[in-house]
Amino acid sequence: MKRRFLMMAIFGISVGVVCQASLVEGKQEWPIPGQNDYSEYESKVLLEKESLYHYIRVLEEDGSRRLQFRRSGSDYEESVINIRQPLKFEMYYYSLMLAGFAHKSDPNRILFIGLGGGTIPMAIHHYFPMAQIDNVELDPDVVEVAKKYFGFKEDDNMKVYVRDGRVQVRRLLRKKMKYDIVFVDAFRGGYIPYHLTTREFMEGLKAILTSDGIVVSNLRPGFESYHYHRRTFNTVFRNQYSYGSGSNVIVIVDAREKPLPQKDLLAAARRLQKEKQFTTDLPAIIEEGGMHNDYVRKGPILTDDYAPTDVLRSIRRE
Amino acid sequence: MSRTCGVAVTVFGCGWVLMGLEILGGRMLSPDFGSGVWVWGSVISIFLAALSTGYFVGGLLSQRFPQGFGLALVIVMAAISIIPVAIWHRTASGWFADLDLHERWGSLFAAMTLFFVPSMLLGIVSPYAVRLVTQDVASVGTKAGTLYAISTAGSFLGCLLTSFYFILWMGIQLILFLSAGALLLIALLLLATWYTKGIKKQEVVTNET
Repeated sequence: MKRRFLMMAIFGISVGVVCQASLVEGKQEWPIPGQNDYSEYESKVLLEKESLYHYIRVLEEDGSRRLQFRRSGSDYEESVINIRQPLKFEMYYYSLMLAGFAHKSDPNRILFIGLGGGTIPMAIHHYFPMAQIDNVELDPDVVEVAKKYFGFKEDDNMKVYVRDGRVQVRRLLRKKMKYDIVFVDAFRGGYIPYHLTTREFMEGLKAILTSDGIVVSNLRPGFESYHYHRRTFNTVFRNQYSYGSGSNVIVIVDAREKPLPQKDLLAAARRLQKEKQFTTDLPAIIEEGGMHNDYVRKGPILTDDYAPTDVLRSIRRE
Repeated sequence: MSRTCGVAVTVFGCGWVLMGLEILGGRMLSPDFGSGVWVWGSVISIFLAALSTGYFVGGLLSQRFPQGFGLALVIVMAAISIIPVAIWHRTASGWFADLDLHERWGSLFAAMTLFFVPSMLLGIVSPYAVRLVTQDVASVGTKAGTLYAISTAGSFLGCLLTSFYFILWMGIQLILFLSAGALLLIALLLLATWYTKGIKKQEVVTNET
Protein backbone atom coordinates (compact mmCIF):
# COMPACT_ATOMS: atom_id res chain seq x y z
CA MET A 1 0.00 0.00 0.00
CA LYS A 2 2.75 2.29 0.89
CA ARG A 3 4.49 1.66 -2.38
CA ARG A 4 1.30 2.37 -4.33
CA PHE A 5 0.90 5.62 -2.47
CA LEU A 6 4.45 6.53 -3.30
CA MET A 7 3.88 5.82 -6.99
CA MET A 8 0.71 7.87 -6.99
CA ALA A 9 2.60 10.69 -5.41
CA ILE A 10 5.34 10.47 -8.04
CA PHE A 11 2.72 10.32 -10.75
CA GLY A 12 1.00 13.33 -9.32
CA ILE A 13 4.16 15.34 -9.13
CA SER A 14 5.21 14.45 -12.63
CA VAL A 15 1.79 15.41 -14.00
CA GLY A 16 2.17 18.68 -12.20
CA VAL A 17 5.60 19.24 -13.72
CA VAL A 18 4.37 18.40 -17.20
CA CYS A 19 1.43 20.75 -16.80
CA GLN A 20 3.68 23.51 -15.66
CA ALA A 21 6.07 22.89 -18.53
CA SER A 22 3.25 23.09 -21.04
CA LEU A 23 2.02 26.23 -19.36
CA VAL A 24 5.40 27.81 -19.89
CA GLU A 25 5.35 26.58 -23.46
CA GLY A 26 1.90 28.02 -23.97
CA LYS A 27 3.24 31.37 -22.91
CA GLN A 28 6.25 31.04 -25.12
CA GLU A 29 5.73 31.24 -28.87
CA TRP A 30 8.36 28.73 -29.85
CA PRO A 31 11.16 27.16 -27.82
CA ILE A 32 14.68 28.45 -28.31
CA PRO A 33 17.22 25.69 -27.68
CA GLY A 34 19.31 26.26 -24.55
CA GLN A 35 17.14 29.08 -23.27
CA ASN A 36 17.08 27.63 -19.76
CA ASP A 37 20.86 27.81 -19.40
CA TYR A 38 20.81 31.40 -20.46
CA SER A 39 22.13 33.93 -18.00
CA GLU A 40 21.19 37.60 -18.31
CA TYR A 41 24.54 38.78 -17.09
CA GLU A 42 26.71 36.95 -19.49
CA SER A 43 27.54 37.92 -23.01
CA LYS A 44 29.11 35.19 -25.05
CA VAL A 45 29.95 34.02 -28.53
CA LEU A 46 28.08 30.79 -29.23
CA LEU A 47 29.48 30.13 -32.66
CA GLU A 48 32.09 31.48 -34.99
CA LYS A 49 32.33 29.76 -38.30
CA GLU A 50 33.46 30.27 -41.83
CA SER A 51 30.73 28.85 -44.04
CA LEU A 52 30.69 28.48 -47.81
CA TYR A 53 29.40 32.03 -48.18
CA HIS A 54 29.87 33.94 -44.96
CA TYR A 55 31.88 34.40 -41.85
CA ILE A 56 29.13 33.57 -39.37
CA ARG A 57 28.95 34.63 -35.73
CA VAL A 58 26.23 33.87 -33.21
CA LEU A 59 26.26 36.02 -30.07
CA GLU A 60 24.20 35.96 -26.94
CA GLU A 61 23.76 39.16 -24.96
CA ASP A 62 21.13 41.32 -23.29
CA GLY A 63 18.47 38.65 -23.52
CA SER A 64 18.86 38.05 -27.23
CA ARG A 65 20.73 35.95 -29.73
CA ARG A 66 22.29 37.63 -32.75
CA LEU A 67 23.31 36.19 -36.09
CA GLN A 68 26.01 38.25 -37.78
CA PHE A 69 27.82 38.04 -41.09
CA ARG A 70 31.18 39.73 -41.25
CA ARG A 71 32.21 41.67 -44.31
CA SER A 72 34.99 44.25 -44.72
CA GLY A 73 35.72 44.29 -41.01
CA SER A 74 32.14 44.98 -39.92
CA ASP A 75 29.69 42.52 -38.46
CA TYR A 76 26.32 42.92 -40.09
CA GLU A 77 23.35 41.92 -37.99
CA GLU A 78 21.20 39.53 -40.02
CA SER A 79 18.87 38.25 -37.31
CA VAL A 80 18.18 39.01 -33.67
CA ILE A 81 15.83 37.03 -31.48
CA ASN A 82 14.56 37.65 -27.97
CA ILE A 83 15.44 34.45 -26.14
CA ARG A 84 12.48 34.48 -23.74
CA GLN A 85 9.90 36.07 -26.04
CA PRO A 86 10.71 35.43 -29.70
CA LEU A 87 7.62 37.38 -30.81
CA LYS A 88 8.90 40.52 -29.17
CA PHE A 89 10.79 41.67 -32.22
CA GLU A 90 14.31 42.91 -31.58
CA MET A 91 14.74 44.39 -35.04
CA TYR A 92 12.27 47.05 -36.04
CA TYR A 93 12.09 45.96 -39.64
CA TYR A 94 10.55 42.63 -38.57
CA SER A 95 7.51 44.63 -37.49
CA LEU A 96 7.55 46.60 -40.72
CA MET A 97 7.50 43.37 -42.68
CA LEU A 98 4.19 42.46 -41.06
CA ALA A 99 2.72 45.32 -43.12
CA GLY A 100 2.52 42.74 -45.89
CA PHE A 101 -0.41 41.14 -44.07
CA ALA A 102 -2.44 44.35 -44.20
CA HIS A 103 -2.16 43.99 -47.98
CA LYS A 104 -2.90 40.28 -48.03
CA SER A 105 -4.46 39.13 -44.79
CA ASP A 106 -5.47 35.59 -45.78
CA PRO A 107 -2.34 34.12 -47.38
CA ASN A 108 -2.33 30.46 -48.34
CA ARG A 109 1.18 30.20 -49.63
CA ILE A 110 4.14 32.31 -48.62
CA LEU A 111 7.65 32.28 -50.07
CA PHE A 112 10.45 33.64 -47.93
CA ILE A 113 13.78 34.30 -49.65
CA GLY A 114 16.69 34.66 -47.22
CA LEU A 115 16.03 32.67 -44.06
CA GLY A 116 18.66 34.09 -41.67
CA GLY A 117 17.70 33.06 -38.14
CA GLY A 118 14.20 32.26 -39.36
CA THR A 119 12.61 34.61 -36.83
CA ILE A 120 10.13 36.20 -39.23
CA PRO A 121 9.02 32.92 -40.86
CA MET A 122 8.51 31.39 -37.39
CA ALA A 123 6.51 34.43 -36.29
CA ILE A 124 4.40 34.23 -39.42
CA HIS A 125 3.92 30.52 -38.78
CA HIS A 126 2.73 31.40 -35.30
CA TYR A 127 0.27 34.06 -36.47
CA PHE A 128 -0.88 32.24 -39.61
CA PRO A 129 -0.57 28.53 -38.75
CA MET A 130 -2.60 27.45 -41.79
CA ALA A 131 -0.36 29.17 -44.33
CA GLN A 132 2.20 27.07 -46.21
CA ILE A 133 5.58 28.77 -45.81
CA ASP A 134 8.42 27.87 -48.19
CA ASN A 135 11.81 29.28 -47.28
CA VAL A 136 14.84 29.58 -49.51
CA GLU A 137 18.29 29.87 -48.01
CA LEU A 138 21.56 29.70 -49.90
CA ASP A 139 23.86 28.74 -47.05
CA PRO A 140 23.33 25.31 -45.43
CA ASP A 141 25.21 26.52 -42.35
CA VAL A 142 22.72 29.35 -41.88
CA VAL A 143 19.87 26.80 -41.85
CA GLU A 144 21.78 24.86 -39.18
CA VAL A 145 22.25 28.03 -37.12
CA ALA A 146 18.55 28.87 -37.41
CA LYS A 147 17.63 25.43 -36.11
CA LYS A 148 20.24 25.20 -33.40
CA TYR A 149 20.20 28.72 -31.98
CA PHE A 150 16.97 30.38 -33.11
CA GLY A 151 14.49 27.57 -32.61
CA PHE A 152 13.59 27.36 -36.27
CA LYS A 153 11.71 24.14 -37.05
CA GLU A 154 10.49 22.53 -40.22
CA ASP A 155 7.06 20.89 -40.32
CA ASP A 156 4.26 20.23 -42.79
CA ASN A 157 3.64 23.94 -43.28
CA MET A 158 7.23 25.10 -43.00
CA LYS A 159 9.82 24.01 -45.52
CA VAL A 160 13.35 25.09 -46.39
CA TYR A 161 15.04 24.80 -49.76
CA VAL A 162 18.80 25.16 -49.53
CA ARG A 163 19.39 26.92 -52.79
CA ASP A 164 20.02 30.29 -54.38
CA GLY A 165 16.87 32.45 -54.35
CA ARG A 166 16.95 33.22 -58.02
CA VAL A 167 17.49 29.59 -58.98
CA GLN A 168 14.57 28.55 -56.76
CA VAL A 169 12.25 31.16 -58.29
CA ARG A 170 13.12 29.82 -61.71
CA ARG A 171 12.23 26.30 -60.55
CA LEU A 172 8.96 27.40 -58.97
CA LEU A 173 8.11 29.14 -62.20
CA ARG A 174 8.62 25.95 -64.13
CA LYS A 175 6.48 24.03 -61.63
CA LYS A 176 3.83 26.75 -62.06
CA MET A 177 3.70 27.37 -58.32
CA LYS A 178 1.86 30.47 -57.11
CA TYR A 179 2.36 32.44 -53.93
CA ASP A 180 0.27 35.08 -52.21
CA ILE A 181 3.22 36.78 -50.58
CA VAL A 182 6.90 36.65 -51.46
CA PHE A 183 9.24 38.13 -48.87
CA VAL A 184 12.69 39.07 -50.12
CA ASP A 185 15.17 39.51 -47.29
CA ALA A 186 18.39 38.09 -48.72
CA PHE A 187 21.50 39.93 -47.63
CA ARG A 188 25.13 39.13 -47.77
CA GLY A 189 26.64 41.27 -45.04
CA GLY A 190 24.94 44.60 -45.72
CA TYR A 191 24.08 44.29 -49.39
CA ILE A 192 21.72 42.37 -51.64
CA PRO A 193 23.38 40.06 -54.18
CA TYR A 194 22.96 41.74 -57.56
CA HIS A 195 21.07 38.93 -59.28
CA LEU A 196 18.27 39.40 -56.72
CA THR A 197 17.82 43.04 -57.72
CA THR A 198 17.35 42.97 -61.47
CA ARG A 199 14.28 43.49 -63.62
CA GLU A 200 14.48 39.88 -64.83
CA PHE A 201 14.36 38.63 -61.24
CA MET A 202 11.38 40.85 -60.46
CA GLU A 203 9.59 39.58 -63.56
CA GLY A 204 10.19 36.06 -62.22
CA LEU A 205 8.65 37.08 -58.89
CA LYS A 206 5.66 38.60 -60.62
CA ALA A 207 5.12 35.37 -62.54
CA ILE A 208 4.93 33.26 -59.37
CA LEU A 209 2.44 35.60 -57.68
CA THR A 210 -1.29 35.06 -57.52
CA SER A 211 -3.30 37.82 -59.21
CA ASP A 212 -3.52 39.90 -56.03
CA GLY A 213 -0.22 38.68 -54.62
CA ILE A 214 2.49 40.96 -53.26
CA VAL A 215 6.24 41.13 -52.95
CA VAL A 216 7.56 42.43 -49.63
CA SER A 217 11.14 43.56 -49.92
CA ASN A 218 13.59 44.76 -47.28
CA LEU A 219 15.72 47.61 -48.67
CA ARG A 220 18.40 49.91 -47.29
CA PRO A 221 17.64 53.55 -48.16
CA GLY A 222 21.10 54.67 -47.02
CA PHE A 223 22.63 53.32 -50.19
CA GLU A 224 22.53 54.57 -53.75
CA SER A 225 21.25 51.16 -54.89
CA TYR A 226 17.95 51.83 -53.08
CA HIS A 227 16.84 54.22 -55.82
CA TYR A 228 17.90 51.84 -58.57
CA HIS A 229 15.99 49.06 -56.85
CA ARG A 230 12.79 51.04 -56.55
CA ARG A 231 12.95 52.36 -60.09
CA THR A 232 13.36 48.77 -61.25
CA PHE A 233 10.33 47.67 -59.22
CA ASN A 234 8.45 50.48 -60.89
CA THR A 235 9.05 49.05 -64.36
CA VAL A 236 7.64 45.63 -63.39
CA PHE A 237 4.91 46.25 -60.81
CA ARG A 238 2.11 48.77 -61.03
CA ASN A 239 1.86 49.83 -57.39
CA GLN A 240 4.49 50.50 -54.77
CA TYR A 241 4.01 51.16 -51.07
CA SER A 242 6.73 51.79 -48.52
CA TYR A 243 6.86 51.45 -44.77
CA GLY A 244 9.43 52.77 -42.32
CA SER A 245 11.97 55.50 -42.67
CA GLY A 246 15.01 54.35 -40.70
CA SER A 247 17.89 52.22 -41.90
CA ASN A 248 15.43 49.74 -43.42
CA VAL A 249 12.48 50.53 -45.62
CA ILE A 250 10.00 47.81 -46.45
CA VAL A 251 8.75 48.16 -50.00
CA ILE A 252 5.60 46.30 -50.98
CA VAL A 253 4.65 45.97 -54.62
CA ASP A 254 1.67 44.49 -56.41
CA ALA A 255 0.31 44.30 -59.93
CA ARG A 256 -3.31 45.25 -59.18
CA GLU A 257 -5.25 47.44 -61.59
CA LYS A 258 -5.63 50.08 -58.92
CA PRO A 259 -3.64 50.63 -55.73
CA LEU A 260 -5.26 49.56 -52.47
CA PRO A 261 -6.67 52.63 -50.72
CA GLN A 262 -4.99 53.35 -47.42
CA LYS A 263 -8.27 53.22 -45.50
CA ASP A 264 -8.78 49.61 -46.58
CA LEU A 265 -5.24 48.75 -45.55
CA LEU A 266 -5.78 50.44 -42.22
CA ALA A 267 -9.05 48.60 -41.65
CA ALA A 268 -7.34 45.29 -42.44
CA ALA A 269 -4.48 46.17 -40.10
CA ARG A 270 -6.88 47.02 -37.25
CA ARG A 271 -8.81 43.81 -37.75
CA LEU A 272 -5.63 41.73 -37.79
CA GLN A 273 -4.21 43.50 -34.76
CA LYS A 274 -7.32 42.60 -32.79
CA GLU A 275 -7.33 39.03 -34.02
CA LYS A 276 -3.60 38.21 -33.80
CA GLN A 277 -2.47 40.47 -30.96
CA PHE A 278 0.79 41.38 -32.67
CA THR A 279 3.45 42.61 -30.26
CA THR A 280 3.88 45.58 -32.58
CA ASP A 281 1.36 48.24 -33.52
CA LEU A 282 0.54 47.28 -37.09
CA PRO A 283 -2.12 49.97 -37.67
CA ALA A 284 0.42 52.65 -36.68
CA ILE A 285 2.92 51.27 -39.20
CA ILE A 286 0.29 51.30 -41.95
CA GLU A 287 -0.80 54.79 -41.02
CA GLU A 288 2.71 56.17 -41.35
CA GLY A 289 3.46 54.32 -44.57
CA GLY A 290 1.80 54.43 -47.93
CA MET A 291 2.57 55.24 -51.52
CA HIS A 292 5.46 57.58 -50.87
CA ASN A 293 7.72 58.11 -53.78
CA ASP A 294 10.70 58.78 -51.60
CA TYR A 295 13.25 57.84 -54.22
CA VAL A 296 14.92 59.45 -57.18
CA ARG A 297 12.54 58.66 -60.02
CA LYS A 298 14.85 59.42 -62.92
CA GLY A 299 17.82 57.26 -63.64
CA PRO A 300 18.95 53.86 -64.84
CA ILE A 301 17.31 50.62 -63.73
CA LEU A 302 18.93 47.29 -62.89
CA THR A 303 18.95 44.45 -65.40
CA ASP A 304 20.89 41.23 -65.72
CA ASP A 305 23.01 43.05 -68.27
CA TYR A 306 23.59 46.16 -66.19
CA ALA A 307 23.48 45.76 -62.42
CA PRO A 308 26.31 47.47 -60.60
CA THR A 309 24.61 47.04 -57.21
CA ASP A 310 27.56 45.42 -55.53
CA VAL A 311 29.52 48.49 -56.50
CA LEU A 312 26.68 50.86 -55.66
CA ARG A 313 26.28 49.39 -52.21
CA SER A 314 29.37 51.21 -51.08
CA ILE A 315 28.13 54.59 -52.27
CA ARG A 316 26.21 56.27 -49.49
CA ARG A 317 23.50 58.69 -50.42
CA GLU A 318 23.97 62.29 -49.32
CA MET B 1 56.93 50.85 -83.79
CA SER B 2 59.02 47.74 -83.96
CA ARG B 3 57.72 44.22 -84.31
CA THR B 4 58.57 43.51 -80.68
CA CYS B 5 56.54 46.50 -79.57
CA GLY B 6 53.59 45.38 -81.68
CA VAL B 7 53.73 41.92 -80.15
CA ALA B 8 54.04 43.40 -76.66
CA VAL B 9 50.91 45.51 -77.17
CA THR B 10 49.16 42.40 -78.52
CA VAL B 11 49.86 40.24 -75.46
CA PHE B 12 48.94 43.11 -73.16
CA GLY B 13 45.57 43.64 -74.86
CA CYS B 14 44.78 39.93 -75.10
CA GLY B 15 45.65 39.44 -71.42
CA TRP B 16 43.33 42.33 -70.58
CA VAL B 17 40.39 40.97 -72.57
CA LEU B 18 40.87 37.46 -71.20
CA MET B 19 40.53 38.46 -67.57
CA GLY B 20 37.81 40.98 -68.31
CA LEU B 21 35.87 38.12 -69.88
CA GLU B 22 36.45 35.94 -66.84
CA ILE B 23 35.09 38.59 -64.47
CA LEU B 24 32.02 39.04 -66.68
CA GLY B 25 31.67 35.26 -66.86
CA GLY B 26 30.67 35.00 -63.22
CA ARG B 27 28.10 37.75 -63.66
CA MET B 28 26.69 36.25 -66.83
CA LEU B 29 25.99 32.95 -65.09
CA SER B 30 24.70 34.15 -61.73
CA PRO B 31 21.15 35.00 -62.90
CA ASP B 32 20.63 31.32 -63.63
CA PHE B 33 22.99 29.60 -61.25
CA GLY B 34 23.32 32.02 -58.36
CA SER B 35 26.48 33.66 -57.17
CA GLY B 36 27.78 30.82 -55.09
CA VAL B 37 31.23 29.28 -55.13
CA TRP B 38 30.21 26.82 -57.83
CA VAL B 39 29.69 29.52 -60.39
CA TRP B 40 33.11 31.03 -59.80
CA GLY B 41 34.64 27.58 -59.60
CA SER B 42 33.09 26.66 -62.96
CA VAL B 43 34.18 29.84 -64.68
CA ILE B 44 37.75 29.73 -63.41
CA SER B 45 38.25 26.04 -64.11
CA ILE B 46 36.87 26.33 -67.65
CA PHE B 47 39.16 29.27 -68.32
CA LEU B 48 42.13 27.27 -67.06
CA ALA B 49 41.21 24.22 -69.14
CA ALA B 50 40.81 26.46 -72.18
CA LEU B 51 44.13 28.20 -71.54
CA SER B 52 45.87 24.87 -71.13
CA THR B 53 44.52 23.77 -74.50
CA GLY B 54 45.30 27.15 -76.04
CA TYR B 55 48.93 27.16 -74.87
CA PHE B 56 49.45 23.74 -76.40
CA VAL B 57 47.81 24.61 -79.70
CA GLY B 58 49.59 27.98 -79.74
CA GLY B 59 52.96 26.27 -79.46
CA LEU B 60 52.18 23.98 -82.38
CA LEU B 61 50.82 26.77 -84.55
CA SER B 62 53.81 29.02 -83.89
CA GLN B 63 56.12 26.31 -85.14
CA ARG B 64 54.14 25.85 -88.34
CA PHE B 65 53.44 29.49 -89.16
CA PRO B 66 55.93 31.77 -87.40
CA GLN B 67 54.33 34.85 -88.98
CA GLY B 68 52.55 37.90 -87.63
CA PHE B 69 49.66 37.10 -89.92
CA GLY B 70 48.96 33.78 -88.18
CA LEU B 71 48.73 35.39 -84.76
CA ALA B 72 46.58 38.23 -86.10
CA LEU B 73 44.21 35.67 -87.55
CA VAL B 74 43.89 33.90 -84.19
CA ILE B 75 43.07 37.22 -82.53
CA VAL B 76 40.44 38.05 -85.14
CA MET B 77 38.87 34.64 -84.51
CA ALA B 78 38.87 35.34 -80.77
CA ALA B 79 37.11 38.66 -81.43
CA ILE B 80 34.50 36.94 -83.58
CA SER B 81 33.96 34.21 -80.96
CA ILE B 82 33.06 36.80 -78.33
CA ILE B 83 30.15 38.18 -80.38
CA PRO B 84 27.78 35.18 -80.04
CA VAL B 85 28.59 35.11 -76.32
CA ALA B 86 27.50 38.75 -76.06
CA ILE B 87 24.28 38.11 -77.96
CA TRP B 88 23.17 34.70 -76.69
CA HIS B 89 24.64 34.20 -73.22
CA ARG B 90 21.24 34.65 -71.52
CA THR B 91 19.60 32.13 -73.83
CA ALA B 92 22.41 29.62 -73.45
CA SER B 93 22.69 29.74 -69.65
CA GLY B 94 18.88 29.69 -69.35
CA TRP B 95 18.82 26.56 -71.46
CA PHE B 96 21.33 24.83 -69.20
CA ALA B 97 19.47 26.00 -66.10
CA ASP B 98 16.26 24.40 -67.41
CA LEU B 99 18.00 21.04 -67.76
CA ASP B 100 17.60 20.95 -63.97
CA LEU B 101 21.04 19.56 -63.30
CA HIS B 102 22.63 20.35 -59.98
CA GLU B 103 23.76 24.00 -60.10
CA ARG B 104 27.40 23.05 -60.16
CA TRP B 105 27.06 20.93 -63.32
CA GLY B 106 24.68 23.35 -64.98
CA SER B 107 27.06 26.23 -64.41
CA LEU B 108 30.06 24.16 -65.51
CA PHE B 109 28.45 23.16 -68.81
CA ALA B 110 27.17 26.67 -69.43
CA ALA B 111 30.63 28.08 -68.72
CA MET B 112 32.17 25.55 -71.07
CA THR B 113 29.77 26.38 -73.88
CA LEU B 114 30.16 30.12 -73.48
CA PHE B 115 33.78 30.66 -72.57
CA PHE B 116 35.87 27.74 -73.76
CA VAL B 117 36.36 28.87 -77.35
CA PRO B 118 37.23 32.55 -76.78
CA SER B 119 39.57 31.82 -73.87
CA MET B 120 41.21 28.95 -75.75
CA LEU B 121 41.88 31.27 -78.69
CA LEU B 122 43.31 33.90 -76.36
CA GLY B 123 45.47 31.21 -74.76
CA ILE B 124 47.13 30.61 -78.14
CA VAL B 125 48.47 34.16 -78.11
CA SER B 126 51.23 33.89 -75.47
CA PRO B 127 53.34 31.01 -76.83
CA TYR B 128 52.78 32.29 -80.36
CA ALA B 129 54.02 35.73 -79.36
CA VAL B 130 57.14 34.25 -77.76
CA ARG B 131 57.99 32.53 -81.01
CA LEU B 132 57.47 35.72 -83.01
CA VAL B 133 59.92 37.80 -81.00
CA THR B 134 62.56 35.10 -80.62
CA GLN B 135 65.65 35.35 -82.79
CA ASP B 136 68.02 33.16 -80.85
CA VAL B 137 67.94 30.59 -78.11
CA ALA B 138 70.02 32.59 -75.66
CA SER B 139 67.44 35.37 -75.34
CA VAL B 140 64.33 33.22 -75.41
CA GLY B 141 63.98 33.10 -71.62
CA THR B 142 64.21 36.87 -71.30
CA LYS B 143 61.79 37.43 -74.15
CA ALA B 144 59.30 34.90 -72.81
CA GLY B 145 59.59 36.31 -69.30
CA THR B 146 59.04 39.87 -70.52
CA LEU B 147 56.05 38.91 -72.64
CA TYR B 148 54.43 36.94 -69.83
CA ALA B 149 54.98 39.86 -67.49
CA ILE B 150 53.35 42.25 -69.95
CA SER B 151 50.49 39.87 -70.69
CA THR B 152 49.80 39.30 -67.00
CA ALA B 153 49.98 43.04 -66.31
CA GLY B 154 47.27 43.37 -68.96
CA SER B 155 45.26 40.66 -67.22
CA PHE B 156 45.70 42.47 -63.93
CA LEU B 157 44.30 45.70 -65.32
CA GLY B 158 41.53 43.95 -67.23
CA CYS B 159 40.44 42.14 -64.11
CA LEU B 160 40.62 45.18 -61.86
CA LEU B 161 39.09 47.78 -64.14
CA THR B 162 36.29 45.51 -65.33
CA SER B 163 35.23 44.56 -61.83
CA PHE B 164 35.77 47.98 -60.26
CA TYR B 165 34.59 50.36 -62.97
CA PHE B 166 33.36 48.94 -66.27
CA ILE B 167 30.41 47.11 -64.75
CA LEU B 168 29.47 50.36 -63.05
CA TRP B 169 29.61 52.31 -66.30
CA MET B 170 28.00 49.97 -68.79
CA GLY B 171 26.21 46.70 -69.42
CA ILE B 172 27.85 43.33 -69.88
CA GLN B 173 26.88 43.18 -73.53
CA LEU B 174 28.48 46.52 -74.33
CA ILE B 175 31.71 45.56 -72.53
CA LEU B 176 31.82 42.36 -74.59
CA PHE B 177 31.31 44.20 -77.87
CA LEU B 178 34.01 46.69 -76.92
CA SER B 179 36.35 43.82 -76.06
CA ALA B 180 35.74 42.24 -79.45
CA GLY B 181 36.38 45.63 -81.08
CA ALA B 182 39.58 46.07 -79.09
CA LEU B 183 40.81 42.65 -80.23
CA LEU B 184 40.19 43.58 -83.86
CA LEU B 185 42.17 46.79 -83.42
CA ILE B 186 44.99 44.84 -81.78
CA ALA B 187 45.08 42.42 -84.71
CA LEU B 188 45.31 45.36 -87.12
CA LEU B 189 48.09 46.95 -85.09
CA LEU B 190 50.00 43.69 -85.02
CA LEU B 191 49.72 43.35 -88.79
CA ALA B 192 50.78 46.96 -89.28
CA THR B 193 53.88 46.64 -87.12
CA TRP B 194 54.77 43.24 -88.48
CA TYR B 195 54.64 44.10 -92.15
CA THR B 196 56.10 47.65 -92.14
CA LYS B 197 59.79 47.80 -92.75
CA GLY B 198 61.20 48.14 -89.30
CA ILE B 199 63.65 45.33 -89.88
CA LYS B 200 66.79 47.39 -89.33
CA LYS B 201 65.66 48.59 -85.95
CA GLN B 202 64.77 45.04 -85.11
CA GLU B 203 68.32 43.95 -85.89
CA VAL B 204 69.76 46.59 -83.58
CA VAL B 205 67.62 45.26 -80.77
CA THR B 206 68.73 41.70 -81.32
CA ASN B 207 72.40 42.63 -81.55
CA GLU B 208 72.28 44.07 -78.10
CA THR B 209 71.64 40.72 -76.51
